[in-house]
Amino acid sequence: MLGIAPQALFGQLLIGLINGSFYAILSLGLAVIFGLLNIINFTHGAQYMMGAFGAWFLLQYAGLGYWWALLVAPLLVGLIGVVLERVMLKRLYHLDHLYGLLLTFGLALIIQGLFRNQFGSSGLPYAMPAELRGGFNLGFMFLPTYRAWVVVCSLLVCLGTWYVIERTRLGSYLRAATENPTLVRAFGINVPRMITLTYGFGVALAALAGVLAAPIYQVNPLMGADLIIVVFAVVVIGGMGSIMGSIVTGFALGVIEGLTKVFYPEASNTVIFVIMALVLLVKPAGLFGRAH
Amino acid sequence: MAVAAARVVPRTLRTESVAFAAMVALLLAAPAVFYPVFLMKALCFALFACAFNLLVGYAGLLSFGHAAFLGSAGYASAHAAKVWGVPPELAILFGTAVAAVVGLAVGALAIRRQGIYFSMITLALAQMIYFFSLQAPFTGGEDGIQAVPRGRLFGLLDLNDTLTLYFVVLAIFLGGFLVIYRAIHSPFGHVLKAIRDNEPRAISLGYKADHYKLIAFVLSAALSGLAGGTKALVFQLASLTDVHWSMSGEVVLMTLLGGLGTVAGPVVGAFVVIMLEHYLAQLGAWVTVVQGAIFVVCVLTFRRGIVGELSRLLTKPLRMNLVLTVEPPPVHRAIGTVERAQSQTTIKVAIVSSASGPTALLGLAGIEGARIAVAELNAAGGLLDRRLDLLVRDDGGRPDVGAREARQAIVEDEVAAVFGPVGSDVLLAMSDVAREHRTILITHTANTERALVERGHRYIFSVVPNTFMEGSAVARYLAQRPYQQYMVVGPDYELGHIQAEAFERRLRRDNAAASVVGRTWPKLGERHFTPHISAILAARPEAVYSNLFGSDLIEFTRQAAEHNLFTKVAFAGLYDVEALQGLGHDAVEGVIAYERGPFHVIRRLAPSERFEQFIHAYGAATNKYPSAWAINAYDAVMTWARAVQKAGTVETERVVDALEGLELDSLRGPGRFIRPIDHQANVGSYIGVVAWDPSFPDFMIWRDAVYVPGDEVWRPEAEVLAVRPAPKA
Repeated sequence: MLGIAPQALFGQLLIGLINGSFYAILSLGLAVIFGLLNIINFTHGAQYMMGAFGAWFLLQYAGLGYWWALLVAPLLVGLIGVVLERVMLKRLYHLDHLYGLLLTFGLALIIQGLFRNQFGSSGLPYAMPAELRGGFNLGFMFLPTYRAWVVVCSLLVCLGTWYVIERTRLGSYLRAATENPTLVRAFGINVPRMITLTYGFGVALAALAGVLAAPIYQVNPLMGADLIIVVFAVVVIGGMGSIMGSIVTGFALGVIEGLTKVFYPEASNTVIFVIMALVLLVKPAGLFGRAH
Repeated sequence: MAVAAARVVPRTLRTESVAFAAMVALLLAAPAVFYPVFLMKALCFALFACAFNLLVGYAGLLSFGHAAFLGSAGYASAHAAKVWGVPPELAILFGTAVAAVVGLAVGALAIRRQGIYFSMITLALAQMIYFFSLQAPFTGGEDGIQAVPRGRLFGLLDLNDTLTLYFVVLAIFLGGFLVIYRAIHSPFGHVLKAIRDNEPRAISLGYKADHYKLIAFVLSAALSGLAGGTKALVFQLASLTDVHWSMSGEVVLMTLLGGLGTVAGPVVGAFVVIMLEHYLAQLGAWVTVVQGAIFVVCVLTFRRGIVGELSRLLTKPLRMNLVLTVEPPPVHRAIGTVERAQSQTTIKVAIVSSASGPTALLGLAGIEGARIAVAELNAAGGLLDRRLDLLVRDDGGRPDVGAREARQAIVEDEVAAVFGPVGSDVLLAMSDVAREHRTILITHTANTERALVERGHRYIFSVVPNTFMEGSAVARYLAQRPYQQYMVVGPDYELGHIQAEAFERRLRRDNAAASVVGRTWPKLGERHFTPHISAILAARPEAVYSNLFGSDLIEFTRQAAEHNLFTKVAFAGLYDVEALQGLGHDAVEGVIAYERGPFHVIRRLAPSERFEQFIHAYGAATNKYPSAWAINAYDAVMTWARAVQKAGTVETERVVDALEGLELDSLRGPGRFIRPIDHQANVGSYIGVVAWDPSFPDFMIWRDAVYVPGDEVWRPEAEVLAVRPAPKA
């Protein structure tokens, strides 16, 4: 096809899907947090990294393997997020939103700096779980089991989140609080607690992405630093108004990036930013965003 | 928008003029007390922060991508001055214009959204410009544009004179400062503030809000560009650091700390942050932690910033309160004289290498190796009966930082020689400094051949096999094997390509039947190697030559093993001690390995009591086995010490003469000499086969190791002569 080896094409498509999985989970977490807190969580990339380190710590010091890490690491990092919200973020809600951005940017610098001091900048290896080693030969390409698992797992998590927010009673409170927190409070719902837990949940999503990433990328203090900027672009393209929008945009942009690597590799680093510029020209509110 | 927390009431023009005159007087006198290069850096950043503040403080637009304008102007000015040879005033103007054009494009897109989205869009577009700078042919990639000529301003003033340059930079800063001051107080500035405070109302009054925002954005970008172009000429360098997002964060930090929306705040903030970074530079990643902590503290409790809070405390708004910006000097002249007096008794040398950044693992190993060498020399009575002091400076893996640290070590600390660094880009930048200041620089890890040949000079020496030698050595080894179809895999940057070229050239010479059937170049830091592994498998080679290294090699090996690559082809890679320890049980038995100094091979080929003591001392300090990085750094220090003893002085010119042709004082064994023609030592490569050994249960070492001497694979003298500038003037 067009003189491109099918192995390379499908290989890059798979990489695109994997990157898309991470974009989707991370932009979903950003959208959930932004919906209720009106804060863009710049610490998201650092929390993704903390998830990966959580998995590494659990293995190193508690002897807990990958499957436990998938559960425990997001809980722990989410808990740290809850503390951050209670101690710092909640003091900014009456201020301009930009202060939330500046505070979370500062927190990201601190966290990444501390981890770099402790662990250096070269990655720590994290072994793949034995059950997910190896792969399938599909005839046209080799599909490593673990990579297939990442795509499936992130799809499940994203769709689960979508279901809870759009289709359950809890989700309806959440959406209502996004629209009009004062009114929801008047109905006897503890909105501040809901805000805290929402931030914790969004952070836990980032940490879960980190655990999923640990066996693929090495566990590295700076693994989330550049990623978060790409995720911001994804969020601008999708618009933060819609949960499904974040998921679809995340996966779609991952695949587009993968295809760019095959057909015009020079642009693979920048294609998402170019798409962002084009979307801004045509539909400034984003593909799924609501104009205000 | 509430960002401008410290709104200010106009004062009489007279008070402001007095404050401004005081600032000018202070800055005019400053070089008598402060190190001028430091002052110039602070002034460039102060202008940058003022330009940024124009946008956030008076238009309420928080740009998180201002590095794009600073950096692109830096590249444009550097390119104009160096490649086109235009005079400095035109180079800076050109940079400013380029930044304005980039600002127009970014601004037109970004102002389509407001608030947080505006910040995210500017950040994303700036990241795009960063990647563009990384890949574009004229930016020099990881190296940046180095050795930018400063030239003569208007054909009259020689900017190579530091003091002249300082006053020119001061004039540029004051010019930019006044432009911003005028803009803020013009009708244009008042409309901007009206839009900031209530955009719908400003629009209803008939103002085209987007129009005003875009003009403010372009003006801010252009002035950032003025700062960037000037900075490129001051440091004679334009590099990726200035387009990176962390630079965008730094300017936000300076402005926030000084006081958003105050005229003097950004200037104060810039001086404080630059000073902090100067003092904390030794602490590696702690700089980031401190910066982050300042952000957090400012946002939570100190939103007015230094100038804003001071104005409030003094109840009178001190908009021009620059008189209060008194910074302790980074390097005080008086301290310098004390040190000069001491230097009669001690000899100072510096190692400038990576104690932080992506290559810190290699840098720290080298630093420890050098420390052991200095400790041994001092234990044996010092050098020429004087004590030897080793200064350790961190380059963070960045060329501009490396050049700055080297310059300061030479100028302020008066070191006799400099050792280091890890990165080849850092080496090239430091090498320019060494040449300028006629100080010996010995590289023991960075090994680009360009530093010694195309850009070689009298003061740079190498005690590692360079890229040409390393590529050729592996080819010479593989040529004796029966393989004919080869594939090359290497990191997609200059070093990888150069080394691969040398490999292919030598392979064709030594084995006429061999051919390279394909090449694949993963980008540096790649984590998905499947497409590259598929490409290798599809080309069906018999052997693969790889010059991937460090964590890239480790990850490649893991993924290639999943695809059974190693059972299908013979593979040669840079499996050094660090990589094999990193791989542990994931290393592959039977693959071919090469490196510059594996302790387990040296131990057998050149056994010595001294080497065992070194392994012991290194283990006691780090709990690790020494890597080639440590061994070669030790050799660099010891060889310089031998030259000093031979010359009987530390005086540079005589030590250089002694070094030319000198035999290294090397842990790797005797018989290694420095060739006078390019100052490259004939150190060779070690090649072997990865295997388990009962003495090392945790990681694999090699079997059947051989040594390929440097003089069998280095570039012939005639070729060096054809390229290298004449060795002696």
